[in-house]
Amino acid sequence: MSILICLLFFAFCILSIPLAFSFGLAGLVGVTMSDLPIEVIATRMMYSINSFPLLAIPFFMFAGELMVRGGIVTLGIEFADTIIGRVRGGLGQVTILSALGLASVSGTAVADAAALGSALLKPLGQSYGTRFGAALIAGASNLGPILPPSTAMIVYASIAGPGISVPALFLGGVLPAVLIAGGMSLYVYFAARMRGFPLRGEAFSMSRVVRQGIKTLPVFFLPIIVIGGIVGGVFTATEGGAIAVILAMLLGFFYTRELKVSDLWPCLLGAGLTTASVTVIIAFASTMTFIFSIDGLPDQLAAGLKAITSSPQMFLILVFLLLVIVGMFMESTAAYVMLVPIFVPIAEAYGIDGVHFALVFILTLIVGMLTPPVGVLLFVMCGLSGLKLGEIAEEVWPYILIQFGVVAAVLFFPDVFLALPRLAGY
Amino acid sequence: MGRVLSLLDRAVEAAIVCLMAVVVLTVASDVVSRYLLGGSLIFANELSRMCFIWVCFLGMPIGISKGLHVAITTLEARLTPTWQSAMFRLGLVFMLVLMVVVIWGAIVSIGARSAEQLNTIPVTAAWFYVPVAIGAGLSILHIIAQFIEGRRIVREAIETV
Amino acid sequence: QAATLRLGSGFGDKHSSTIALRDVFGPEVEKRTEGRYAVKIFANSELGQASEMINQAQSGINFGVYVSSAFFNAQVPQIGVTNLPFLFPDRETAFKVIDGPVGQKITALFDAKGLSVLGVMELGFRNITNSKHAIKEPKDLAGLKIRLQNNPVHIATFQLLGASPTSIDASEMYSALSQGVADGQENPYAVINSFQLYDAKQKFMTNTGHFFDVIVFAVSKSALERMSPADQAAVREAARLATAEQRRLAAQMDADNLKQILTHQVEFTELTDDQRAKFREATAPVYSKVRDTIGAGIFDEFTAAVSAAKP
Ligand code: NA
Ligand code: NA
Repeated sequence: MSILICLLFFAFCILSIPLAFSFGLAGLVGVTMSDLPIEVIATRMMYSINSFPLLAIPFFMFAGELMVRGGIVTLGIEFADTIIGRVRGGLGQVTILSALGLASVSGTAVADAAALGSALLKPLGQSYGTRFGAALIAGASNLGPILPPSTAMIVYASIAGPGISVPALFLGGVLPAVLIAGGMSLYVYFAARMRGFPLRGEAFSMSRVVRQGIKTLPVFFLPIIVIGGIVGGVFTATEGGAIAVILAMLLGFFYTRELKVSDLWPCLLGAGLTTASVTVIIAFASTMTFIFSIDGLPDQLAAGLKAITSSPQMFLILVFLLLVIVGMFMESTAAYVMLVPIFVPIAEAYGIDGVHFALVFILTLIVGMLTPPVGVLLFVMCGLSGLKLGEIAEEVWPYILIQFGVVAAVLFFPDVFLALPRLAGY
Repeated sequence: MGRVLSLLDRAVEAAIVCLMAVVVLTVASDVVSRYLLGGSLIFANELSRMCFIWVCFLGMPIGISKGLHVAITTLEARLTPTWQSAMFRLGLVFMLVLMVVVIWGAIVSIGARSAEQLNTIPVTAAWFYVPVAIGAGLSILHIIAQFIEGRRIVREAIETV
Repeated sequence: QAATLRLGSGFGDKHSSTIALRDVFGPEVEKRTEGRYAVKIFANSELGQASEMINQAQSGINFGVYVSSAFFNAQVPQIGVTNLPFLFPDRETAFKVIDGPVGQKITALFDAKGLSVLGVMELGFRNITNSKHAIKEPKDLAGLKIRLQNNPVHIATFQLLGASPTSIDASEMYSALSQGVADGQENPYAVINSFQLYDAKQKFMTNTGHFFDVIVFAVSKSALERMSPADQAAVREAARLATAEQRRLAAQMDADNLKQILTHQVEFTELTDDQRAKFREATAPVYSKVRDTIGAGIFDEFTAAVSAAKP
């Protein structure tokens, strides 16, 4: 039945029915075939988004809108421009650096994409084209769940049970995040040279850097307070989103003075609607994954894998390939919930290190948020940029390749990537 | 019908703005209260989740009316206008069926949950389903309006970005 | 062709409840109904959130659910009486009362909500951990930010003990503790161990056992009543056997979990009877509060049964 549901989902997509409703329709067919009361569609939808951590999405979207309207983003970017604006593709490097900074605070890619998108999409689009900008932001946001803290790792560890420790996974994410950021930075550098991206701004001058730096100084308080507040234990990551909103308002009203009370209405509405376009997909997708669970799809997958190979290395490669495909079609949280309980015991039986397996598993599904046709980051960027999915997908594949390359490295060189967690005693 | 729908949309948008404001203020006040009043606002979690769900499901019909929901239109783009509008209408019929199922399920759930008090806010669990019903109901109206029109609404980039 | 009975839960694959239902309830149902029914267990919230799975059982979408009794408060507020602070001295007393007449009176209330209770299992005594200092009496809790569930009784209890109750979503509990947003939390040993809270700065633990949590294993009343009387009896008997096995496992795993936690440099405080009495005294006002919410009748009957059952 699961296969039929998948095929139907694609059929609905090809009919140009919005993805969210294609999920819902495929789920509805599954519910009818399984003889379930159809009210399960409505209850699944409501409960799948009835989750406090998801609130980070509207918070960072709203904060992003405020920072754009309040001229805060412009200030920060002008400052970055004075430093590396003269380098070809410099704004791209600024984006990657900002994403790393943001990732050290936030645990999810969607929130990062929303925040970076509202802040940097417009300037990136003006300089390098909206498609390039949207794809770069989507790729860079994936650093959010890879660099600690990471919601995905916490979710994985809590499902996998006592064998897997959250801090061990956190430490394991540091090197892959740095490598991915480095790889993306190289790609942006070469892309900028080959495409002849225009040089921005004026020639480098120290006095301009200092002048602009002083002007931008209060803006730095925003990330410092939000990052410092989360790391220093003043509030949780989700709460940090609400604090970012308040700070962005204070800066916009009283420092840049570009924000007007009349701006609040469109900012709130824009953030609300962008949030809804993401969460409605999560809601309807949950009806389809519910059918997969009931149909026992995960068990069938596991049984198939077990039949194929007895080599741990080969098993890892197969899991990786399978998760690449799963990541193309499934929302990642649903995939953790369905697959972790099945694969972790099998991996144990193959004698694979728990942290090693977890890293390969988590990283592959994280990259899956970037792969079409079902890539939640692509959806967010579509929502922010007004581009079509295909238009972003054209530009996003280099980032997908870089990130899968790093995952493959983690797969084949466990000793290198487990060194940091082991050093810390895990 | 168009006039009525756009008035309804305005009202829903106003509700989204107010609910978003409540979510931000609730969570921010919770943090402040933890430090100034020596304890959490017990209702913050439940109230903010409730308002968030309202925002999401009220946003669904607005997304339909503004063309904000992502669709893969590769095939549609290659068709002649007549076929385009035929396929668009076929899709709308499917969506209509789905929305009828959603609103029906929401109404059943409102009935079933109307006696269950929430822990920390003085309302019943049925209020989690009210926005699902409203959102699906308004979606049905928009789907019918677009079926009559027979033309996909080209998505507007969200204006503030 | 066997009909599949789906059971949902938020507990993991390795929790005593999942093990008992998978290893005892499933095979026993299959055997005793001569293969007419097969049991399939969906642990780890595969079918949804706890309240959602309860609703799914109520409307017959799934056969049953086994989750903390706290999630049934919306349907049967009277179940809250099992959750009074410092009520039971030990698990034997708890189950003597819960299995007795007053316990059965409470589980019968589930029928009106479309649920049949097939078993009450052990979730365990909840114990306090924190990052600051050992907790020996109520005043040690003064000003400590303790992460609690969003449960009014829990919050009232800790306010009376002088702590600052902090409600943080379960998904953010680990990082909130490790960053210091909250100083401490309270949970059964099984949860403390499986979330590895000792790695989140929780270096002090006291066996307060302030609440005794139970798991309610409830199934869809309509689905159960659609079965033949013989099959209904078979399912009930299988559930009885599974519940007995779960209680045995839970007691054993509780001790194992405590042992494992203590291998991680956690300073463990065991309360003396006098110290525990101070805690009980400080939280006594919660009793009248709960009595007002759920009604004097069942409350008085329940607390009297506890007094009678105490060793
Ligand atoms: Na992060
Ligand atoms: Na994908």
